[in-house]
Amino acid sequence: MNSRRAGSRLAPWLLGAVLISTAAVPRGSAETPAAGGLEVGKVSLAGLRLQDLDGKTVELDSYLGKGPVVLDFWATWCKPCLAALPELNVLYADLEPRGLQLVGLNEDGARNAAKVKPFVRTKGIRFPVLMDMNRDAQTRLNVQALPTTLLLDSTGRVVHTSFGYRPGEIDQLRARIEALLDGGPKE
Amino acid sequence: MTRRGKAGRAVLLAAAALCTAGQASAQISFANLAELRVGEDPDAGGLDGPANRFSRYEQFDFDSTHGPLHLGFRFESYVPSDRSTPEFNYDRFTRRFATWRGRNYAVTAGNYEATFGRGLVLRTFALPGVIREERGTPQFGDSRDLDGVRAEVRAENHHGALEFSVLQGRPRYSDETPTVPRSGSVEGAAGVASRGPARAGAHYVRIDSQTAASPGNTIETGGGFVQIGFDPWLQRAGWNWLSLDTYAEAGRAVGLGLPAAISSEKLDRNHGRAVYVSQTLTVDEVLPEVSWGASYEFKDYQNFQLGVNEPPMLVREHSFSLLNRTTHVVQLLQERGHQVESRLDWRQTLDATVNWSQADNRDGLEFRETYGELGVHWQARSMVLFAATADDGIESVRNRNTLGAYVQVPLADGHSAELELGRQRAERGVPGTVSNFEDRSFSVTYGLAGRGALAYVRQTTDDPDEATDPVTGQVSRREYDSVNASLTLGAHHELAMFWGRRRGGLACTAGTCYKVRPFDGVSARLTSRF
Repeated sequence: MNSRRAGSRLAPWLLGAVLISTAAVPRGSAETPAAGGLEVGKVSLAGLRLQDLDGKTVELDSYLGKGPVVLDFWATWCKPCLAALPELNVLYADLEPRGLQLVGLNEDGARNAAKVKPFVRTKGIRFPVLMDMNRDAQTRLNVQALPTTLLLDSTGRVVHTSFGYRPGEIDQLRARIEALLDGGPKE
Repeated sequence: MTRRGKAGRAVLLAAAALCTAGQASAQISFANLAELRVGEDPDAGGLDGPANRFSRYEQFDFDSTHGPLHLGFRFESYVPSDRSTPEFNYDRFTRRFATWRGRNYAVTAGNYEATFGRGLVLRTFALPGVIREERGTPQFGDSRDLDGVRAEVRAENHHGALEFSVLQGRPRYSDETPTVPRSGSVEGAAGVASRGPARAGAHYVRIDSQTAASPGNTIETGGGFVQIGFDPWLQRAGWNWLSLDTYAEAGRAVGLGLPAAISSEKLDRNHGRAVYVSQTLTVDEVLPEVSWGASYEFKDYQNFQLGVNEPPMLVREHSFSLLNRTTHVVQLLQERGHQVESRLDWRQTLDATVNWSQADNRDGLEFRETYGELGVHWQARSMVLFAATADDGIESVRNRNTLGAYVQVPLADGHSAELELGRQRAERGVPGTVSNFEDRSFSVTYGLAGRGALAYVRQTTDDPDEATDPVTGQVSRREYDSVNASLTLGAHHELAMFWGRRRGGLACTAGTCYKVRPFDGVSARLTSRF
C-alpha cells in the first residue's frame, strides 16, 4: 500500500470523526445534557471496579449522581501530579461538604503499588484514592497523559478537562465546580 | 477486504446503528491523537532504515455504551513520506471489542487487557498516549492486549465477595507493531475471594508460546496471592495512627524449554518460579507533626519471562530526566532483590525520601541504587534536591552518581516558571576498557494556567555508547537542544510541539520502559477528546 492510498483510506474516518463531533456535540452540551439519543462526552464508568488503598473494591460509578465529580489521574513519579495534590486536597476540604466528589485515580501500577499508600498518608491526602492497577479507567476515559483532571457533572458528562498542571489550574477548576454547585444541572 | 477488515467494519456499523437507533440513550466518547513530523534520525546512518523522518501518525479511539452493551474500537494510521519502506505504511483497526455487562457478570469479545494478581503470571496492558517506534518499525500505539474472549462472574453478600474469570486470546507481545500478525495463544482462569480488607486468589494460565525464548512451547503456569490490610483491626484497637498492609504472590511455570544460554543458573531450563512480597508501614505522627511511611519489597524471578506477564520491577521510577533514562530494566530470566523506600513529611511543607534497591543477576552481575530526595513546598512553590548513586552490571555501568535540583515558582496571574538541572557521572565498560562519561540536563519552563507552557531543554552527553563517531572512533560531546510548547485549545484539544534535537535511548512511562529513537526536526501532536 502506498502513502497516497493510505491517506485516501484514512480520509473517510477523519471526516466521520468531524461529522460526529460537529453533529452530536450541540445535542449534549456541557450545560444542557441531552434527554436521550446520542450523548457525546458522557462517560460510562459501569463495570470499573478498583481497589482503594485498604484493598476494598469500589465501583467507580458509585460516585456519580451525588454531585459534581472530579477524577484526578496521577502517579507518584509524575512531578506535576504531585504539585497538584495539595491544592486538590484543599479543594476537597472546601467543597466536599457542598457535594463535591473528588477521586484520585493512581496510575503507578504494580511497579510502585507498595509506595502509594505510605505516600498518600504521609502527604496528608484526604480524598479517596483508587488504584487503577491495569489502567482500566485511564483507557476507558481516553486519558493520554498525566496529570489529567476531569470534572464530571452528576450525570457523568465531562464538563471540564485539565491537561497537565501549572500553578493556578486548580483555581480554574474550582470556578467550574462552584458554577456547577451554584447553578448547574440539578443534582 | 480481509476477514479482519470485515470484522472491524461490522463492529463499527453495529456501533453506529446502536448510537443512532430510536430514542434510547447511548453514551459515546472518542479521542484522536495525531502527530506530524518533519526531520530525521541523526544516528540512522542508512544502516537501519532511512534517516528521513517525515511522517504522519494518527490514532482514533471510539467508545460507546448502550445500556448493557459497551462497544469500542481503535483505528491507527501511519504514513511516512519515504516510499522505500512500503511495509511501514498501514491504516487499520488495531482494537475492537464488545462487552455485555450484567449486574454480576461481564462477557467481552475482541481486544481486552487482563491482569492476574500483580502481573506475575499474566499482565496484558496498554500505555495510553505512548507512541512507540524503533529502528525497523513504523510508529504505533503501545498496546499489549489479548484478542479473544473473556467472561467474568462476581457474587457478593455481606460477608464478602467471590470473583471468577476465564479468558482466551491471542497476545500482542511487547515491542510488536500492529503490522505483525498475532501468534500464539493464552488461556487462563482466576478466582479471587475477598472479605473486608483481606483478599486471596489463585490463577492458572496456559500459553502456546511464540516468544523468541520459547517458540512453539506450551507453558503452564499457576500461582496465587494473599493481600491483607490490617488497618480496620488497628483502628478497632484505637491505633488509628498506624497503617500496615501485606501482599505476597508466588507463581511457577513448566514447559519453558529455554535455551541453556539464557536459562537461570538456579533452575533447569524447563521450570520457572516467581515470588513477590511487599510490606507497607505508615505512622501518622512519628514525631510532632511529622508522619513517616515506608515500604519493603522482595522479588525472586527465575525463568519467568513468559511474554504475557510483567511482574513488579522493584526499581524506583524517577521523575527526573537523567535518572528516568538510566533505570535498571528487570531481568525476568534471573533476578533476585529487594527495595526499601522511606518517606518523612513535616506539615506537608518539608519532605525527605530515601530509596534503596538491589538485585542479583546471572554471571554474578549486580544492580544497586541509593536515591535521596529533599523537598520544600509552600504556597504552590516547590524546591527539590536529589542525589543518586548506582551500579548496573547488566548495563556495564559503575559508579553512576547523579545530582540535581528542581524549582517551581508561581508568578502573578496564573503565570509560573520551572527550572530543572541535573548532572550524572559514570563509568561504562568492562575491566580494561572502561570509559568515564558525563551527562548534563537543563530545562526552563514558562507556564500559564489553563493555556499551556513553553520550555527550553538542553541535554549533553559524552557517553561512548552514543557519542562515538562510527568512522573515526573518536568520542565527542553531543548536544541536544530543543524548544517544547504545549497549548490547551478549549476544553477538548491539546497541541504539543517540538523543535530541535531529541536524545534517543531508554524512556519509562508508568513503570514500563522502552526505547525511543533520536530525532532532529519539528513535530506537532494534537490530542483531542470528546
